[in-house]
Amino acid sequence: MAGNRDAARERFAELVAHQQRRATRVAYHYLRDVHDADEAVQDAFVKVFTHITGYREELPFEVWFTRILINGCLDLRKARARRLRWTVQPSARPDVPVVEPAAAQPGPEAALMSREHARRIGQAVEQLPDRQRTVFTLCHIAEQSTREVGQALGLSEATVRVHLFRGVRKLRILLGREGRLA
Amino acid sequence: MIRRHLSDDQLTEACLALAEDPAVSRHLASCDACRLRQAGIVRLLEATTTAAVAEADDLFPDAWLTRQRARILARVDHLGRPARVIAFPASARRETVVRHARPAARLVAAGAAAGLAIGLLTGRLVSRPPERPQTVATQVSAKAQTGPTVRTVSAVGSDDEFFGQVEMAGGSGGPAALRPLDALTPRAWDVR
Repeated sequence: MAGNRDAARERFAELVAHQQRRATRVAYHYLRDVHDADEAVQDAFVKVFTHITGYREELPFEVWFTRILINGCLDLRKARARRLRWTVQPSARPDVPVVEPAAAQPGPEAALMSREHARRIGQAVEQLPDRQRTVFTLCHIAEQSTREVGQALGLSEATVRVHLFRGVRKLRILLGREGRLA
Repeated sequence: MIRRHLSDDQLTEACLALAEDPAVSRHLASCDACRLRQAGIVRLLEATTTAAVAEADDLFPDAWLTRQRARILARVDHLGRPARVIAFPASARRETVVRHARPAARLVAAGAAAGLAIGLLTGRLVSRPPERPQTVATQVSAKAQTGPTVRTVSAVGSDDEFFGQVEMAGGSGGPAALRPLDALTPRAWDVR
């Protein structure tokens, strides 16, 4: 019994290691907060472990996992919205510095350019409506096909394509005409 | 074949491969300007993806992911186990303080306690509440009226009042004045 559990744990650890990077990217771009993204990813993996018996193999594992992750992110966004209704946002308090996690430092100028670039893109993606942002994130950051995204979100592939098209069109407008950022 | 240049939306659709339109493909094959614009959109999408991925990967480096993985596995390990009850307050450890009292200190403490008890007992005995009031009016005989002024003496009065009267009687009239007092005092044989 203990041996089975150890083996399951071992396999689960491999699964986490395999999916973790993609999961954190998706969660971060969905939530735009390091701590919330961390919480969402952890919760998603724990749910996978506890509900693994409910997994049906007609769906690819990535799709099933993405569905769990996105649902968790949605819950966190709702919780955050409720929280923000009652609390002062950090940006509204000049005395409290916003603590950002330490990032890799490739070089002062390059880092500055890269951060500015990423910030603009992040802001643009953030401005997309929920559905468009989710679809764009899954297609272009999680690198899933429109079919997989449709399965993960419970939408038809045609609907996913429409959201993706509208999202990209809006991004183009927000980031300036094509080529300016490239 | 499409004669005019493609719209941005048509180019976007072509970039995303959302709809396979042979007419658009043919136009792109023959129009350098539209191909250039299409390449611009492709670059924008690639840059967006690259920047987004790089931003997330900067925030979550490998070491961070390793720690996160450890936390996930720790949570999985604790699934199904009952929560541990932590004593309150969690940080303070209970310590038994053992005091070794010396014999001299014990004697002093016992003496102080005994003294206090005796004092309390004595205090209670001395300050007993007065018994039921009993008024005794004594009429002084007419014979005694030749002496000092005879007054009604109340047995209810306080001790001070009584002794004050005695002093007053003693100081004013000599032995004759003491006779009323003598009358009040029971004889030894009467007491028996």
